[in-house]
Amino acid sequence: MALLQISEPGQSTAPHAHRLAAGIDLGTTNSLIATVRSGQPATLPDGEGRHLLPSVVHYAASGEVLVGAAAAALQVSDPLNTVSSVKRFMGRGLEDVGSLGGNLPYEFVTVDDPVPRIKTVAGPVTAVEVSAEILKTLEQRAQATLGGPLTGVVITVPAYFDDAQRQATKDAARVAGLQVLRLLNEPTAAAVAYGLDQEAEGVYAVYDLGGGTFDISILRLNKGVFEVMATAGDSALGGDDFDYAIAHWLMAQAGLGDAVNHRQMRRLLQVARQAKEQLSDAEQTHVELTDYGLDWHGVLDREQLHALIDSLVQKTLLPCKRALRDAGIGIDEIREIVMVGGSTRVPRVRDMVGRFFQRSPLVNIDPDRVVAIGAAIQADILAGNKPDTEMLLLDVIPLSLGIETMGGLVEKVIPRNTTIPVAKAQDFTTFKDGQSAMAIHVVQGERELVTDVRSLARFELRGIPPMVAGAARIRVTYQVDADGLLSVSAREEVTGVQAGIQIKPSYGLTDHEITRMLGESMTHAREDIAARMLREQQVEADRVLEALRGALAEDGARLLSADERIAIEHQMTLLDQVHQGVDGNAIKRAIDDLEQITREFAARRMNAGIERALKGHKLTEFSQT
Amino acid sequence: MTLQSQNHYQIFDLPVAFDVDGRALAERYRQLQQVVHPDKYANAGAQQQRLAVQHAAQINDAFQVLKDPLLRAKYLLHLKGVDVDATNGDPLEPAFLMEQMELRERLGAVRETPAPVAELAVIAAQVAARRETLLSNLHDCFRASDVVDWRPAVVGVKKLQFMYRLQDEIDRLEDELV
Repeated sequence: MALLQISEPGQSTAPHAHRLAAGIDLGTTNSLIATVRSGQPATLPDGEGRHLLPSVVHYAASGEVLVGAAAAALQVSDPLNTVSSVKRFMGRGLEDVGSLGGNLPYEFVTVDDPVPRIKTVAGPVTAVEVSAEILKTLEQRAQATLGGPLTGVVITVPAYFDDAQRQATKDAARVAGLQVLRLLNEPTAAAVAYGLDQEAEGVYAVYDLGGGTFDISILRLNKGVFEVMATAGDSALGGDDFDYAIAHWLMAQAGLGDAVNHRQMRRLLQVARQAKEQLSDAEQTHVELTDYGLDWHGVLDREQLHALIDSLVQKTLLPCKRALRDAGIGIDEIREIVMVGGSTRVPRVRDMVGRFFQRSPLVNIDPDRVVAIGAAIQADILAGNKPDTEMLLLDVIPLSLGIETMGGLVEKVIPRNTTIPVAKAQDFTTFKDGQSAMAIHVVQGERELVTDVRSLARFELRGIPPMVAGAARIRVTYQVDADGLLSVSAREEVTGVQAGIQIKPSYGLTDHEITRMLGESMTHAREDIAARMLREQQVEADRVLEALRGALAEDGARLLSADERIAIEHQMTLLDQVHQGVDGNAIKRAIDDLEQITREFAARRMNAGIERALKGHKLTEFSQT
Repeated sequence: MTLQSQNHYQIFDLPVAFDVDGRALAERYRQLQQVVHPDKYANAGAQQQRLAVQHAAQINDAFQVLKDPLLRAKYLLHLKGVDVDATNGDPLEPAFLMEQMELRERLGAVRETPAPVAELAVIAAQVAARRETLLSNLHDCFRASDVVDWRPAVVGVKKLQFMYRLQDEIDRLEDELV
């Protein structure tokens, strides 16, 4: 007897193949890649069993690029061509680079360009390109381990990263040729990894102190939903600063003054870091400064270490206080405080944070791996491997988004800690008769003066028809997507004229530059850029077709007339016919046509889902009475 | 009915009133995001993803407004055809304005006091207490079902706005003092 297969609504009938997806923690000091296999998330080691990839890239005159431990080994002997801690420069301009501390171990090219370039023997490189090299190395590791190409990746960023820093991270993924499923905030990833979704309910704090960034996030957990209530931090504060503080103390002890060269500085930082790590277990450590003209030895004890770093740790507690206030939560309402990031290994950090939150922090998952593991869990879900999951992450923007108004003042359009995705519109008007253009300056930050906040982009709205001052109504719309990335559009509402917008990213790379970088990296990978584009179209076609088949099986009978269904299926057949061909444009056209014809169906499905969700609450409430 | 044509209360299937059942609101918010959030469409085509972003943003916006008493009061008046920001309304009582000025002056002088943090906490407590009173008055303004005159509610909202601004100032000072 044949068995009838009956599927639950919301579940697809046919189990699809497991898609390879990974989570990447692109860190200041170390980077990791993790994936979920047989339901278990784990970080992936390289051929020699090492999980942590030092975020260090070395450029040789021959054009050879080394990433990881091999590059790190050259840090002291070839400091100018060895780039480390590049995350600190993502989405930053030259003037910020200067303010990140004087003794930078490598040099920048000063050209007339908003994006700083690091000088190497292989030519100038941007932070985006350096990060792309790290991403490519991790991707190769995953492919070798998993035996196939990745469908997509989730890349983590500090929660306190602004729009320019997030955009730079996504650009790096594009240059590396990776499909980004989502940019995920590091503390949120850590919360996921801690398995807080299992049965835990309540409010949790995640304290994440990495090599170069600090985040604090307050989350409310409820039935698998992770709702970030507030986040705060400092995107230029981390364990690196501890190292610098110790290095400067060593310089003073050794009587070096400020006159050290690049090699000596690298050596000092290396010794400082080792001493810091040893003091996590020992009460005191012997320090020996040798080589490169350095000759000093002495003792560093915990008391001295505390004197050097206490003010830095103290600096992290102010954002903690602000996050609690923004979340409207008292310390007594926090159930647990989770520690993340290599710098939370320092016992003094644990002590001071524990004292602030009045409880001992949770440290049971390796603080170096926890973020990558959380990202892997999210990547597995986004790739579609767990269609029935209840887990949902609702994150926020860390800094207010605003617009410059008359007199150099900032008008906030979207306040910090607003849940994403979000769209907000604000109306402005002209101040001169016959004004035909309007400059729109998009900024991010909390201060009131434009000079005190970060400039994200400048737009110009042109072609406003001549009107008396104050008659035009210019609607500026800010939209932040689920990656936390902003897009801005502007339109004159009275005449309905949508005027052209020119975008000039303040610190970003242009699309043109990214395409060029992608092209350059492809020549090394023996892969033609056109072939890559074609494959991307084919993947998109597959995705659209598979999603639609599932949707038709689920809701086709309920939400479509016979004619509508025939028209959709006809268009699906057309796409199916062209999608294995070699004409990328034909595939793109067929996808566009199919999306056009299914627009109404997509909208109906979403509305039906919404109705079902609300009906669900009525039933539960009814059964409770 | 499509989401776009619904007001914030309809989205969550809640009665149009100033009093909102916070638990039901939060519960339904999570249920709706389970349906519309872009993460649920990471595998769908670009069009479906755009639709998800729009819906999720609208639900987020509605939630934001309904959970905050000031935004909720302004929105409720908007539904009744009153735009608070564009209405001059009845003048606020001199006593209220005097008190505002006093509080502002005290905030401005906090740094010069011998114990600024403690002084700020005293002011903060006072502002919080005033805010509670204003909120309870606003509840009364909205409660009568046969309200035809919204002027008292407009006055209540304007007063509450003053308190929100004071609170912002207190938060800013607190950040600077610590």
